[in-house]
Amino acid sequence: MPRTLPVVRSVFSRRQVLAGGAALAVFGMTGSACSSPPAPPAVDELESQLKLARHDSELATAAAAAAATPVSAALTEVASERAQHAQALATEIARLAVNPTSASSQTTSTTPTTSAAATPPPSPSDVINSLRGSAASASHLATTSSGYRAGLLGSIAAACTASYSVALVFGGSAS
Amino acid sequence: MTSAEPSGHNTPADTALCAALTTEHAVIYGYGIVSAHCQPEVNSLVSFSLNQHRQRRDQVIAMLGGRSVNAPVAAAGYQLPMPVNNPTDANRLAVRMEKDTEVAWRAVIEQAQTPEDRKFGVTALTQSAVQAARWNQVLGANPITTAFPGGD
Repeated sequence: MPRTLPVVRSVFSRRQVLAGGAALAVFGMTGSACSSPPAPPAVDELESQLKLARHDSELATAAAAAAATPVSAALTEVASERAQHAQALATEIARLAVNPTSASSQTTSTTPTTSAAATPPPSPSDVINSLRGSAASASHLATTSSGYRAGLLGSIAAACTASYSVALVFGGSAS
Repeated sequence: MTSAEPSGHNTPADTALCAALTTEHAVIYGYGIVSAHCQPEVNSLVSFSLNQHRQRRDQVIAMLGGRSVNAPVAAAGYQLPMPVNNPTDANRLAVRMEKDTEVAWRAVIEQAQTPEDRKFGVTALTQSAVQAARWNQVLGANPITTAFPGGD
């Protein structure tokens, strides 16, 4: 899996700094991201992440329908990103099912159920709270997973956090 | 090219950590350029970002030291990936640097062999995703977030 390259490349002359120009590779790959998976987490744990992703996506979609313009667009983006997470997790689960090397896992990932009532449309705050729980859950599972899966879960945690702490913050100050 | 390459016998996890540190050095340098060209309204964002990267740099140097791995040092100078002549360029550079930081830390997470290293990596990846979103907001980009920070 190719990696993009670091921004700024070290040079010998400080003068060259001001010349600008294209950045190129500095250091090599740190190894394939898709090499042999050591001790994958139980499918159950990924299934729970999948449920969270789908739930967030549906919640954000419902909230977007009831929200005004800028907020609505942000919620739609959240819905899209969480749907992409669900897709990636489903792919990973399918891969595990084909190649079930190990299903051992002692860690019980807490699955926060912050489902809002269906009757009134969910508010942006409901989505924020749900994403907060999902970020914590993905972050926790990332630390006990390994290889590509750990990276994927870390990335999901990062995306959820950026959404609830920046993208969905309107009016007030972004904490 | 540089004398900052890690020495021979490091584990893949250490190598990824060294690579991330090399990125942090470059980003800290780059924020100096951002600071020179940005608008006054984003001074606090520059300071926050810079401090975050500095603290992380220091933590990684300590982590590597604890493993007797030679920590790469900052280069004498860095070539920017794009010309930076105005506030918009500065904002773009900041976004780009946070994105590159994301990539470096996702690699650390994937190569890590301990929960502690993974946790550190997840925190760094998350912080950079948040900062990238903030800089994208300043830039007026839309959307300001991505589904898979650090790649995929």
